[in-house]
Amino acid sequence: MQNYEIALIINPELSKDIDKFFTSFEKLLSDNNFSISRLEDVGRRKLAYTIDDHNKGHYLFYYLEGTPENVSEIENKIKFNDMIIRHLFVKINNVPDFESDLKEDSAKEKDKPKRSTKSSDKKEDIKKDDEKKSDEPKTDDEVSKDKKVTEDKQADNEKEETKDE
Amino acid sequence: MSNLDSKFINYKNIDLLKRYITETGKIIPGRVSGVTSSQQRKITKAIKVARYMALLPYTDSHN
Repeated sequence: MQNYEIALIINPELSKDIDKFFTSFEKLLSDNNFSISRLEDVGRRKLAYTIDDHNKGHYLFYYLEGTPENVSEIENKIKFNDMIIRHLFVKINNVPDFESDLKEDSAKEKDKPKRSTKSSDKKEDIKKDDEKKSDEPKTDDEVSKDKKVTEDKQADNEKEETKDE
Repeated sequence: MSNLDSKFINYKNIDLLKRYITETGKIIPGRVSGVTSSQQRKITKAIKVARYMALLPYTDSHN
């Protein structure tokens, strides 16, 4: 028996149906005599670059025990599964008994947008205030500019008229 | 450098690996990073795997 690790990135739009995926994928594993030592569900995470127009991905890490003959079978199934946008199959010596830091990362990222939205809201408020403040003097300027433009146009028209004459 | 235990040089430990890439995403060469050559080889492999799994960027000008 050999220890394996499968890293999967699931289509984030389908991460609501992740339970269906778990049941089907775990059935596939058990059919090929793979036993799951541990499953790490990291959740949605921002990708470092876009893959097939996806900016986010649902990361899963399966730690398995199985025989090498059945690996290619599972890899084939993974390749033709539309839900999986990227996968990695690696042989490992020992199943790590600690969680990776990725989970904490995704938790932080969940916090971050909340904070950023709040801050952006504030910014927007400030902007709105600025706009309100700036509106009053601007309107006068704009009006005067418009007047100038119209005056210029009129002047141009007059010039053209004089040329025509 | 106690963090560089071979147990921690893993493609999922991106906080560690991030210290060994430049702002543009390049791997910092061993002569600059100052780690042992054995550790540098492990770091390099881990970074390349992390890039494949979109945990680290290949470059700063993606898209």
